[in-house]
Amino acid sequence: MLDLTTIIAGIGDAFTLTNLIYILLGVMLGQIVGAIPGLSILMALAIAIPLTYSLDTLTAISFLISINKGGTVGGAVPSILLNTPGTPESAATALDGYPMAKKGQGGKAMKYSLYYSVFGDISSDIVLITVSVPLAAVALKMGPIEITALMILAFTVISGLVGASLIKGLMSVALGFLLASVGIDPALGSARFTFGYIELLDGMPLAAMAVGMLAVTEIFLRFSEFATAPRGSNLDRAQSFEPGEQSVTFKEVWANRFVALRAFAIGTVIGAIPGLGSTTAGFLSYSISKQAAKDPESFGTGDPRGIAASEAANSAVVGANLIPLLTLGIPGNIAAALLVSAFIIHGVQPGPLLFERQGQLIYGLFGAMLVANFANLLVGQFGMRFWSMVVSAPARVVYSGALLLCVTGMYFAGGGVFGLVIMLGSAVVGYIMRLTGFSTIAFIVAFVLTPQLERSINQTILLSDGDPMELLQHPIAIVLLLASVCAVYFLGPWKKKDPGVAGA
Amino acid sequence: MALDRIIGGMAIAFGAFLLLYGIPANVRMVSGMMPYPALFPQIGAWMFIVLGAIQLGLGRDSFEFPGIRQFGVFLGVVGLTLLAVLGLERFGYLTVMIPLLAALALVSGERRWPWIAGIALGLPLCVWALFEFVLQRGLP
Repeated sequence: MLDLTTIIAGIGDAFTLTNLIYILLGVMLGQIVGAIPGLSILMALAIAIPLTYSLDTLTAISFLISINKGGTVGGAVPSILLNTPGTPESAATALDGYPMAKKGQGGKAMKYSLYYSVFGDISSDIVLITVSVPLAAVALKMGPIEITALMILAFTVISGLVGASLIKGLMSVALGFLLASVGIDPALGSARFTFGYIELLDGMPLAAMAVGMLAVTEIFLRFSEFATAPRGSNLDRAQSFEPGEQSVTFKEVWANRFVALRAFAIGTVIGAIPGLGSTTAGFLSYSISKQAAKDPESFGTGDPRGIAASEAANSAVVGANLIPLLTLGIPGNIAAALLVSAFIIHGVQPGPLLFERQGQLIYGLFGAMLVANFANLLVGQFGMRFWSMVVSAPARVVYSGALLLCVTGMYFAGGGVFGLVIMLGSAVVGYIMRLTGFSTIAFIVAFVLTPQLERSINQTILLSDGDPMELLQHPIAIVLLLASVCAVYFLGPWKKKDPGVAGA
Repeated sequence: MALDRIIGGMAIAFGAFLLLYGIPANVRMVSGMMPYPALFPQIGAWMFIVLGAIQLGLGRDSFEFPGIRQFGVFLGVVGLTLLAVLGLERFGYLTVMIPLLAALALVSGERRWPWIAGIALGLPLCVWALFEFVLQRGLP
């Protein structure tokens, strides 16, 4: 079990100068990327992963988490000023943020969003820090049969909640299984699907696939949209600030404390469930707050409660979605899957054993997350005014620069030209998947988890000697498998889905 | 026929291809041993067959293809980038990236020459300087 020395040493690690600088840089980068409509946090994370190769593990992960945190704050800027969400999770913020901006209170709306966002983020981080250690201790008691059952449940829930349908989600999972099978098999150590390429013996490069599927697909898609867009289409201009009407007092923030608390609770629960994401949390919290209000008609007209409901909830997801990742090794969404790839690149395997083997690193990470929240507040306090100028950056320049960074970063991180070819191939696959409604989230999560799942299945077969009746000796596994059956029933193609939830 | 049904049929065909040829040809096949190397790929292949059959039965159109022009531009952009990637080590980073970005700017409809020059020259130089001098990673 962890001792106090490890905890203190870990938290101390978070406060090195290098770490603090990278946290600040990450938050700034995240806020800028979030502020540019069309550039997602995922794209920023995917591009940033190769840049962290030369950093030590804690600094690299802190940098990436800071980008994620900064992005949720920055994404609110174009939502408020342009009615165009910078990131999908900020879409609900536009419902009341934009009307405030139209009243000439754009700065005030952005400050509301910053404060509630930081509140949601800090609170969910505290929940993460509090519950992850006991949860990991419980997870350690699970054997391979329970882990196999748990992963089946995770795949079913993720497949059912994201993308166009459960069936397509599970097909994406199957594709993830197949591509993750490339390389050396764990049973005999023989090569699988390597086609004579030595580079494939180590498996398909996760970073190249993730960057290709998430970032490069989006960039190419945008280029093809630019080429076919009608001439003269232009971005709106950001609203100008009017001095004197933009400040927010503590009393004004405090007035919405119950809305923010409820939003934090919703965001934390949603974040802890694999497959659901910030977008779902933001909209769910907004609609619940509106229904609970005595004057629901004021929502949508520039009510700060709308901003509090959306921002506190979508930011609370950031910390909470690390709960399944750190305790069970299951990434709940793509941002978490990308963090897994960063962990693996640095030789760390996320999961319950992480607390025993890398306790100092984990507490360093917790410390860095808390520091990143305050950095978010500080940078946002001074930077919001500048990010409002970034929202009108020419998109062609932005996407050209993003493509260059992807190509250059992956050249180093993905093993040269071979990695780049994999990246481009993944971009084409990602494009086809997107067109046909297959979930890239389910695919990447399956790809990341396959080695662990295959190991668990192999161990299960060896332990049970191939006897399915052995399952009856494991009640937790039975419960998890029954939950999977329920998930298939409730999320299956025979149930109509709200398309707004897809792609969370 | 609904496009989703076609996808279902393709998934069945893909799964069958894997089971009958893809896996036996590319994975070491052993008999009388559990677990064996082909087990996991076979699980994936069977998933394709079963899910494809369900999709075939339930399928309905749930997506629309973009215009042929947009699709063509997408493939063109992929092709241009692939050419640049393949020429990266032979011709050098700046030699390849400058024409690539100029071509992408033109493909995306940019016609203002100062903008094209700014994108094609400024961005590669900035990224090159970032990697060479700040990150100390030598580019080809």
